[in-house]
Amino acid sequence: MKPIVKLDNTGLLSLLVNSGNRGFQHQGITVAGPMDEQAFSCANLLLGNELCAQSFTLEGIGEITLTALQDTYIAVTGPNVSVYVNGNEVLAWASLFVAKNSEITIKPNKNGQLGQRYYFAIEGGFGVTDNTLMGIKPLQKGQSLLSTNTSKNTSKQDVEEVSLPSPDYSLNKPLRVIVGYQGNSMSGAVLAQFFNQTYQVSPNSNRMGYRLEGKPLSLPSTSLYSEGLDKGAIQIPPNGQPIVMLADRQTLGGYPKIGAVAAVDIPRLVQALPGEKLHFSPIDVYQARNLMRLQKQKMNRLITESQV
Amino acid sequence: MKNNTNDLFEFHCVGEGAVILYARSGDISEKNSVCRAFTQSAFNQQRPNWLYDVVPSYDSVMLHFDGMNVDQHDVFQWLSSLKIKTDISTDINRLTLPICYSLDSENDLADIAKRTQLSKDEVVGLHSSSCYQVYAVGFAPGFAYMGFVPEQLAVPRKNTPRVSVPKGAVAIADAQTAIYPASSPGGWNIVGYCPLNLVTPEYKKVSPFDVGQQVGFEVIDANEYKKREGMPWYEANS
Repeated sequence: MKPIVKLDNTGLLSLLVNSGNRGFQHQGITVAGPMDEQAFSCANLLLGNELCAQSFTLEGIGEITLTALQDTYIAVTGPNVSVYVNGNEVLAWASLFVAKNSEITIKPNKNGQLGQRYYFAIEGGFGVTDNTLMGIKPLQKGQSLLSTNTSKNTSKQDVEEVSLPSPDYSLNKPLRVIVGYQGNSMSGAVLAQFFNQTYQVSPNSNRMGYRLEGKPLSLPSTSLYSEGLDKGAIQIPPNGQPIVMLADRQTLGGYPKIGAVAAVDIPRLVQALPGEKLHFSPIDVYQARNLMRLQKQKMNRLITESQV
Repeated sequence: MKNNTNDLFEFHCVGEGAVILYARSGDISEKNSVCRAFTQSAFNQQRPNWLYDVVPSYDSVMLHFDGMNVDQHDVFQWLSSLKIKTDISTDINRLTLPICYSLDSENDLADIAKRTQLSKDEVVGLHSSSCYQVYAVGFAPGFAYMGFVPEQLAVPRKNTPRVSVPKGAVAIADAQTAIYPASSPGGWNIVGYCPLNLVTPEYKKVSPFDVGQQVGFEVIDANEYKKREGMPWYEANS
């Protein structure tokens, strides 16, 4: 694997993420993967990259600067993000050719907020040499990132330059929740309170989980055996304030769960910043899955149309 | 003997790509054995490529699948065709781990002795002579929840968790015991230390523990601890 870009500035936090580690949860190893799967997938879709455990994408927060060490194709996604190549603004949510020695800057645009997550993908994906099952270390300033492309040299005709519209990240519409786990046996009053109140994102939120603050839910105290947690599962600890379990969640959890945030709405949650307000509405699992499939089809269709 | 998933488990759909199965009957040890039997059967048979993860715990098994391409009905169909071998012997993978109760590192033996009105030696004797079952693996890579410690030893978590529990610490929380595979924050009461390296991402198996497995402890002294410190578990148990 050859160095493909140098990270000149890591912003607040830069990580390399793959599409997730599958098949190790029974050993206590978390799936990890991207927080905003939609932005992550789109960045790779724009470059025709396959999503797999061996292909990595940079997930970063804040102003990130990089230098291309080779000719390559890049794509940057995320909410309200600006991309500059050698000082000239270029399209985000698009694939584009960058020549060797170009300086790339990724930062919030005038509507953007510091703290949102951006995805920077290169043609073929980044590769890593160490074992990442035990967690990913934050990237360091000055570090070179490796390309999985071993043989060929990129030329300007390799990838068709295509673009996508940025999805809507607004929190005006509710985040949809599939009621499940212990949610099916919670009282109507608890469910009504959960779905009717406004929550605020706590500063104590990270890749493991997002903590929400509202009027505490009061659940009868029951002892529960720890059980598997899916991404988006909403745990209600004894203080009655929900925690939505995300990419780096533990594999098992012992608090009662009201249900899970629908996959299609997780990107809006994980791009919300501390203090932002949000609310929930119920959805059934069939509808949630249909929305997820429609979202993917729409992205594929937009890519195809953009190529014409 | 019941050996199909419908008889043994209740199914609940908990996400676009997740179904959880709850063992229907028996006490917690029996339910855990059924979860173990299911997991082994699922791992031994040809696993469909849409099935990402099978995660057993105390009385449940979580299935993570590719919700983009299959739905819960496909999962139920596969489950109904799965034959579960419930008569698996639990002795096959019996694991014995060396534990040093006399290492000069931080521990809660004195505190446990005070809370349980036992002597320190009695605490060590009771803890080390029991046979445990792995009920779940989670919280952190290779962290096994084992049960159950003798009733007299079941002390609740510390009021103030330690900021850092050292790697290898063997600890008690209520009726459960566990070994911290890596240093991490934690509120469990430390009784001893295991010298072995229990998380081995470089090896074909990441940790020695499987749900349902029987685990016993071998008491070692501080010299023996030093000798085996950092040895991967698979070399110590081969």
